[in-house]
Amino acid sequence: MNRNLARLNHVLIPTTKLGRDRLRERWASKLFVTPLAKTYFALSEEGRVLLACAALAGFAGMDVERGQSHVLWALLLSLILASLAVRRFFPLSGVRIRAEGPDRVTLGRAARFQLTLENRGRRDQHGVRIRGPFLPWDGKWNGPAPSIATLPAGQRRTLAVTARFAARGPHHLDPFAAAALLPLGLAVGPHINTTGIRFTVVPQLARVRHIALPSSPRYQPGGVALASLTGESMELMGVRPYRQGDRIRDLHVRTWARTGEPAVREYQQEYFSRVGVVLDTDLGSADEERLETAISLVAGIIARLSRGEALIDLLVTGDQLHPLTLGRSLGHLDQALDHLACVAAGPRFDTGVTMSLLRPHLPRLSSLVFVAIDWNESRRALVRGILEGGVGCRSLVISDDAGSDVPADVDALRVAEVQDACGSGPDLVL
Amino acid sequence: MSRGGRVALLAAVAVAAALWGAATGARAVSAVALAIAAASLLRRSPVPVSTPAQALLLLASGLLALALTTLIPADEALGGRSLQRGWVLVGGTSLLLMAARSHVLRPEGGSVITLGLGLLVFLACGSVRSGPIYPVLLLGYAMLLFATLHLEDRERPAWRELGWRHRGALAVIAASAAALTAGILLALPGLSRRADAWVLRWLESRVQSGFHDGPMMLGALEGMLQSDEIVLRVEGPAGELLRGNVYTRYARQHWLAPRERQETTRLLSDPLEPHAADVTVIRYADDDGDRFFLPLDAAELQLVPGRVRTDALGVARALPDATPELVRLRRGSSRRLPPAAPGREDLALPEPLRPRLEALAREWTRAAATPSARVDALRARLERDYTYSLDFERADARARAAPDFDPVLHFLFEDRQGHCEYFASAMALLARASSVPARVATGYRVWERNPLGGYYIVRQRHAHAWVEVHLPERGWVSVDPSPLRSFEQNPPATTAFVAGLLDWGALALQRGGPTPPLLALLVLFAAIQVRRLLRDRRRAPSAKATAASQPPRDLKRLLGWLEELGWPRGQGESLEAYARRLSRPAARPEPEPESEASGAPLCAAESLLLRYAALRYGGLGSADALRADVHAWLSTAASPPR
Repeated sequence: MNRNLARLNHVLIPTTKLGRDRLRERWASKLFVTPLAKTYFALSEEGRVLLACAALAGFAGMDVERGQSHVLWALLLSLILASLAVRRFFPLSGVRIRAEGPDRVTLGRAARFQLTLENRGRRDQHGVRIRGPFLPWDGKWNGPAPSIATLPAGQRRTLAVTARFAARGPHHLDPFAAAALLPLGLAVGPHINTTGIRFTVVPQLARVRHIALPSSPRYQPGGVALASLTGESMELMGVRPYRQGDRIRDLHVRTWARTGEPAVREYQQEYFSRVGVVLDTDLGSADEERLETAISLVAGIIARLSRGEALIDLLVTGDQLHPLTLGRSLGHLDQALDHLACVAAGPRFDTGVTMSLLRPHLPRLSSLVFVAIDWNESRRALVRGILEGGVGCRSLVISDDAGSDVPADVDALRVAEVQDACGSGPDLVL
Repeated sequence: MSRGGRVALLAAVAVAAALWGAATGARAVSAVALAIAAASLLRRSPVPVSTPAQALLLLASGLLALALTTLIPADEALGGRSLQRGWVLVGGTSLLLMAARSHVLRPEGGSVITLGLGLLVFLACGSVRSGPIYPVLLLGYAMLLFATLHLEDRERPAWRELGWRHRGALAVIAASAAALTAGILLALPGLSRRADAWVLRWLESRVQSGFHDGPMMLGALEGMLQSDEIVLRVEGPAGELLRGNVYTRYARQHWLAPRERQETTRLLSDPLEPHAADVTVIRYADDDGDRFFLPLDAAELQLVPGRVRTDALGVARALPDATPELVRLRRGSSRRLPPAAPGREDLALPEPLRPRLEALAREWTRAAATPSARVDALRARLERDYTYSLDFERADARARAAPDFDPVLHFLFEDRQGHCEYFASAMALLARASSVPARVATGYRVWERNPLGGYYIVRQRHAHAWVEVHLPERGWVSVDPSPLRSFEQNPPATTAFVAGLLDWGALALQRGGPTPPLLALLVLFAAIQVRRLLRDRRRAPSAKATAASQPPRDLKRLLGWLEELGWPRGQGESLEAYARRLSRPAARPEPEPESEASGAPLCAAESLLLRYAALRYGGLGSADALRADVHAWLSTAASPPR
């Protein structure tokens, strides 16, 4: 079982920007944390290492009669204090910084943020250091922070930084900051900041090459017209001779002209297969990795179905129902991914609750895909209820690596199998 | 890293290695480190090493440093002061790792960590005094550190590209840092001494200690720190010293109990009249110990619990699972627990100390003929020539570790100041050197009197040590050699009034039943409460206060009803705004014949909300009337929907 120990940061540092802003507004933060944070960020990386050494020397050299560590402490502390004292004389005057990032970032993949620095001032700026926003536990910057040796006056430089995020959901990053490095390199001047960046970390998509849906006795009429509720979208079947009562607007003038007999266009309605997807979020005794795998599988199934002839009409995650219309150029996959990005481990699986959510929609559905992270009688009862409602149901269960906790009559997918399909492994054929 | 950066790093390693060799004498480590670092220059470029391999490098450096410093002994450089083993390991490992990292391309943490390891070498070497070589090498290392960082970082501009502003700032930083360092180094010794003194004073006022069982170690801080915790209370005629432990053997800084310490269990429950004038009553406030603190001349004893263990030295302890609660005693010449007659241990002197102690005792008691006179002479000399002190300068660790060091001799011949344990130890050993049997006793000095109640309070800080000498004509007698003037430095011998009143009440509770002090306290408390009650009655309660403290309980039901009706109060919406929203004609629902939720109840609800807001925030109107109207509205005008 994977344990992300970095989550312990939650104890002290809120994950959301709103929470961090609220924390900054507290008097205790203003009194203790803010001065420390300001000092910390006023120092360069080298300055922080030397400050740590100075702190060690301070502790070790308390007894000034006995040793000489206090000389080391005095020297390091003096250098740092002197650097901090002159930092205000090194502002990045005339420099503008802008950050751009993607709206959606895939979980665990490198997200690229582009920084543009433009020196509109009259003076060249030297040793510009960039600092990325603080990432509590759910993200990590790749590589060292970028820097620019010289930013000549009137010129612009573009830099890129990448980060990986380990938690789904909406993110609001604090601003990027840039500052000039001071002589000796122990501190930096006053910072200039970008605006914050908002984006959503969406789940990884398991690549699904094919999914077999149970055939349903009924197709849904109405096609795109009812699907999108806008405009008419009848498919032209051919022309036939005019009969009494046909609409005048359906007359086909070219045929009439060619044959001399009035003819009308004949249409037929399109029929779609409408699919619902149900994701079970009751973790039970399973770990969160299984839930993440199930979410990736659901994302992959929706991506696959949205490229085909079917329409995805429904997405149920736990006890939440999200009506959708995806596929056939209606809606976008991003809609579903945004919903899936916010899925958390849900309450205990309840057949009654899930059926009450599904029942009003069953008459419109052709088939339903049920992705579970565990299997028991209540889940079997749900499948039975769906079938009794006249809708075909395909059940997929995410099992542990051994695959021993799933009965043989249920389609089981191993965690590693789905995770491989998210990476460089083979596609899934379901 | 550029060639210049590698050379600068090698120079930094050389400086750190030079200091290490000078400070520890373990020049093998320095030589190995220097050789490793120099070999990096032979390579065309550093080698990429993975993170786990770098962790292994750290481990290997530690093991190599340990082996080199253990196998090749240091040559006691720098006046024989060698580093502690922990610092040797930290410094040696850092030096070797620093040298090894000079071969690594992009080491973990970068060059700044490599150079930080060099600072750890300086830190380790700084744990002993190395003389002027330390600051000189440190300055050189700092310059090399900044040069290496500058040469190694390609994102830093070259010096020639920088303008006068940067160069000026560099000069300002260097000058300010130099001045600040000099100032700190000049001021630090004085500040350090003051801080030490302050911390010691702070500790002395907070750390709880006092009488302690087990061996008495001279020079230890235990027993010297003071606490105000009450141990016992003494009513009636009290002796000055209450003994709880007696030591007979002295062995290098320690006083120990007799080798053979046989205890007998007995019942000490003499019939004593509790309120007799010549009966002393000792009440224990501390539940922890097992010791009965008794004067040496206790003639009759009534102990609670009565069954106790006593030893040959006259010390009484409670049985296991029991604690002393109460003692009643009468003092006299016929002792109830007479200490055993003097034995060989009571005249024993450690052989290494004997010559100097006997010489000193002879000198001090030259004019004294009898044992009693000799004891008086010794005591007078200690009181006259020695100073009682709790914060005297103790001999440093190196002196204490010397094989011939003895704290009593140090006290007698060098320091001439110390606390009661030093005086008692010196007196006991000098008395033995004068052929007078002597033992050291510890316990409490009865010193502080509570004027309210007329009894004595004994606190932890009254823990004391003194001497019991055996005089042929009087037997064992207590002699306190600590200068009497030393007690003048202690807090006053009279308890402060408020503390005394509180303690008097506590004693009354311990005695059981309402006694005058407790009754007085109760009457005082009752009088204060009655006065407050009368004062509150005289003041008419303000409408605002009433409204604020007692909001109509039915208001929640009113709001709930409105919410269920489809008119919830918005988040953060004030009551006035909410009422205004309800009053808008467009907001009201169309009256339906079959529905009870017509516009009339909404109007009434709006009026009630406005009245409540006026009462709650303006103090206008009557809370009772409003509460009644809300209740009436809920019960009659609108029945809540289901």
